Amino acid sequence: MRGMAETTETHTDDANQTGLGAGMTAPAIEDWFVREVLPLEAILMHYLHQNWRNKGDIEDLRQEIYARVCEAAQSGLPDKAKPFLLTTARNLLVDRIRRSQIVPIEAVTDLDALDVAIDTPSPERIAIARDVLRRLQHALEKLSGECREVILLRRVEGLSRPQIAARLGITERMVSEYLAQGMAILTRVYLRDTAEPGRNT
Amino acid sequence: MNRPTQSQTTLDAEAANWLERLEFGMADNAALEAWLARSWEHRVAYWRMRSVWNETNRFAALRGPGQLGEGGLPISRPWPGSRLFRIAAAAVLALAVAGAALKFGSEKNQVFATELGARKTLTLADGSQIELNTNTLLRLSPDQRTAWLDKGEAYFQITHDAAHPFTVNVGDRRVVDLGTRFIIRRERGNTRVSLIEGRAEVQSDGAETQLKPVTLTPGDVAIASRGVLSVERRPSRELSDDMGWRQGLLIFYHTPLADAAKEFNRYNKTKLVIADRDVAQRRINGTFLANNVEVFGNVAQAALGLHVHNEDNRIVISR
Repeated sequence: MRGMAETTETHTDDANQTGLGAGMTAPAIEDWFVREVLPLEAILMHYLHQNWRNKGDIEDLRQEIYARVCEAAQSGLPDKAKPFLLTTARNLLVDRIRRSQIVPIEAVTDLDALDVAIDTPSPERIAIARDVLRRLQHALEKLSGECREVILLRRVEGLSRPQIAARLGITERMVSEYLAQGMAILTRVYLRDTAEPGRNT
Repeated sequence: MNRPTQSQTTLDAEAANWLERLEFGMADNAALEAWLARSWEHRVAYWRMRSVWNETNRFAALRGPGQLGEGGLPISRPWPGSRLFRIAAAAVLALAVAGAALKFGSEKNQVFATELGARKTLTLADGSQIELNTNTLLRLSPDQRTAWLDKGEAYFQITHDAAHPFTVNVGDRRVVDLGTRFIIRRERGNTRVSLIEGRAEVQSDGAETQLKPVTLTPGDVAIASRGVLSVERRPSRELSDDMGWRQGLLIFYHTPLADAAKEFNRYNKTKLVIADRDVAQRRINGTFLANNVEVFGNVAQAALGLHVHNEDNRIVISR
């Protein structure tokens, strides 16, 4: 990135930001999303891996499915997150196939099969969820040494950015990059490792 | 695909960067809000990462004398003294640095946003300046030669580089600098490009607007709306009045009250409302501070003899 100076001059009013529609507020949707939807990420990813050939699309599909469920939740939170999430996933896959002239029909193994097993409970997930700390530690082990160090120095020792930089002998800029990179990987591994039976990874 | 999507890995990286800046107290909240407001994909990427980051607070429970590195927590002492370890660590670090730079450094657009009533000046590496007016969102490519004006208004003073022309994308229009100072204002449904100095070319793409490029010279104002691009010559005083916002000023010259109110409302939470149609047609002259809407009410009352009623979040002007 090339250098840039940025100066803010006047600052009068609070922003009129975010164009959320009527109905549920953003914090309410976020709370529902974090509490009800995110714990299902392993199930969703398993479903996508089973039903979509092009593995390179899967993270994008996940993102679009999350966006769709949250957008829909504006007009009211669904009673049951799991069938809602998986139905949304199914509809998106069907949409993708119908709209695209590139993806062959066998991209999805079987359109009808997409409906099954939508309501199976997953006791393993619930059992595992009790031990969040252990799962976090497990995910942490998957990170590179630098990312792990930075996260732990921040979270365990509560060090500031310059303190972490001094401790590790790296620049502050690198502290930021390791922290951001570590967060991204930790999130993916943590949400994937919910010990769902038959997961793909 | 029924909506524009951005690659998940990019959005995840951006969400992680926002969290990191917040964590270290370096985030621009207005810019974050603007980023989040861009789509549901942006919001969910951020919420997802924040939820897990919040969980890592549990690591704090491990804090305490003699506990670090125990209980199976994989903490190694930072960079222990052995020479071999240091070499190995340096190699790992170098690889990680290269990877991180690729992933987080070179390929990202920067996002700049201003709140209602605020202004911001960006100075680029080559000395070019971009000034953002109120309620504006602008993205800039890593090489700083391409910008996207997603909403609002900006003044561009560009250091010309014929080999790498500076391009501003506004919807399906592009403004290409040919050695220039210009203003672009984006409003609902139309884009206005006012050329102050030098030359610039307005190009159109998109299926329904296959229009020929138009070259603007000083004094030209191009107004682009769906499928139409018109160019008018405006007197220079009008153009310089249009630049008043760069000093935080609104300059009116025989301006109908309705238009003046609309201008003020771009800058302030307190909205001016003109209650009567004939009052809306009354004209006003003068120079006002953009964020002092009360003064405008006083002038309407004192100079035009109108009735001004202050309410909670609005000022109503009537006969």
